Amino acid sequence: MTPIILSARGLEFSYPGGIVALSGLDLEVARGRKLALLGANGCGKTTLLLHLNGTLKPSRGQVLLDGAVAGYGRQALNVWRHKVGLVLQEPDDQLFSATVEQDVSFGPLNQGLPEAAVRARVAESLETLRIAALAERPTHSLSFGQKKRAAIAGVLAMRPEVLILDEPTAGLDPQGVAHLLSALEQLCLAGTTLVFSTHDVDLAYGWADDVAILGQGLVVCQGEALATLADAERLRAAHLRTPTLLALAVALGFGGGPDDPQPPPRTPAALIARIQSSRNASVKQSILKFHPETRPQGTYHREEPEMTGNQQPEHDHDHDHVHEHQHEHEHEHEHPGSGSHTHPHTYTHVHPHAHEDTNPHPQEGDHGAHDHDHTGEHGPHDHAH
Amino acid sequence: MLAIDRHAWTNRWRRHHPGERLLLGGGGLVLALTLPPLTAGPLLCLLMAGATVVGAGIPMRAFLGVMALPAGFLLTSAPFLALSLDLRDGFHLAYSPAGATLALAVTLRSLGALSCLAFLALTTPVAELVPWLRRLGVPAAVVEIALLIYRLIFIFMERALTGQQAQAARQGYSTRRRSLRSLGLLIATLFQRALERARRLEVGLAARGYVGELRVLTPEHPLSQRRLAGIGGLLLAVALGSVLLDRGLA
Repeated sequence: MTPIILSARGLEFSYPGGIVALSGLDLEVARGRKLALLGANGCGKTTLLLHLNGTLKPSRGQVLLDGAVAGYGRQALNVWRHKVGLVLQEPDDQLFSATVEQDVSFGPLNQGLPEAAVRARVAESLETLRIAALAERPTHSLSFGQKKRAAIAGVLAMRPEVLILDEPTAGLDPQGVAHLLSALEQLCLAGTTLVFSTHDVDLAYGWADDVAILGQGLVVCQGEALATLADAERLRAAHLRTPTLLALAVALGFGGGPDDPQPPPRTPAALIARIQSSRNASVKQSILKFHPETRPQGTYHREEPEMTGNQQPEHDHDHDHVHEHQHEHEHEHEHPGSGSHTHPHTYTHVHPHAHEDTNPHPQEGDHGAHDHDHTGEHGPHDHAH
Repeated sequence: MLAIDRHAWTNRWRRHHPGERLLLGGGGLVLALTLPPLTAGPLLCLLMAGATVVGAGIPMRAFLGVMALPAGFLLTSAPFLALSLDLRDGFHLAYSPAGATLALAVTLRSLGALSCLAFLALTTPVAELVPWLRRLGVPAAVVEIALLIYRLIFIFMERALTGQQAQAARQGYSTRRRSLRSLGLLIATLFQRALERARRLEVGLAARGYVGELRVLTPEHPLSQRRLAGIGGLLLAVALGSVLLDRGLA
């Protein structure tokens, strides 16, 4: 069980005028994971985020940092905000300085770091978000996507343990979303806990480890993303819907379950891979009869689901592993039909940008082992990846 | 306003120390106010136009554009400086050569000073000039507010523009009466929005540990002794040239 870094207990909050925003909300944020706060417009997502970094004080309930009740004194708030960084939805609400570089330096300077260290932090966070080239640009000349990344860099430079983002992908184009997610993925791999609010169920399904569904000022349910998002009834009650990929996977029979130990695909590429492999299944069945050498791979195939199951608890990005297996799976199916060897390569090209980014070092070991398997049987193969 | 800002952020001298440009612009201003105007004015205009166009690589059009509006005011009012009003017996407008010389002197002096300001405005972003105010002893709070205003002006202008476009799209400016009403509504909305934005900005800053001081890194641009000497030399040349020419004319 991963330790809880940040949690909320029985938060109640009303805005002036008696509008109830939170009514006894409970939430737990597990260290090192990506938590999506899913909810419809106006369900209290932003209000909750403002509670998580101490901007708003609940009328009842408390926020706990590493298990200790967080205080609202000046000193306590400083510690809190050092640990928990908040990125607002509208970057213009956050960027106040003339240039990007200056704006990013604001947080670290407030932390009392010496100038040289601040410069290093600024360079580092601009690098992480791939906006080093914009360092000296005036903030008002940036595009929305660039502003968004500059705003995130400004919080990142403070090296928070928990990074909270309000609607991080809202208003970004697909490439902007891909770049942002890859940068955030990098942070997560480096150990930063991510909490983001969104009403995009597809984003939550494809990217989050955990999901908390908000409705009427409460966390209706919280848990592992897949389990939480499989409950169509609950999603509908919260004015949300089933993620498209999950709905498709279920309709195609890849929805997981007792018969199918593989979890449903979490990325379009993974779904495509499964469709292709199942489409070739019948062809392969007949070919297998004529190629007795390929049988050891069949054994490997049968072991595969177990491996996935074993790896899950240790890895935060288990869907990547699933994906890797998909990949191997496919090669394996392609090989018997030696003529269709081009297929895996085509597949690599189809590989969506976002995924390439989020997984900068695809398990080399896996590929290596996989090559071995084949060289043993088919002689030297040119796996030009 | 926006064109000036764009040139200020993108010109060739952008990465030089702003003190160098401040010396040229400020020094020129002092010369314009102290030297004989008939010769110093035109010489300074030439120097500043040269520095802006040849030095900083800003198009001549931009320089003339900045000069045009104030110069227009200056030139339309100059003829009246040459006239004097005589009220001793009745209403008389009198022209005198002395008055003409005075008018010419004032015009040229103003143009010279203007060119220095145009150079400074086009080559140096406001945000880089303002921190210098702090070194001159202006309180930190005032400097911070000036910088915040600089940043917010652009957000505010954008909002005003889109708001106005949205109103126009719904025929808000089809008659004079409606225009007045729309403009009033827009101003009221903008005021409210500005307050909301200020509150959200406060939240954003607080999240980054704001405790009452907007401290940011100032960019490191080395001060070049060579360029400083060059600027000093140019200013000295203008000073000497204008004095000698002025003697020659007299």
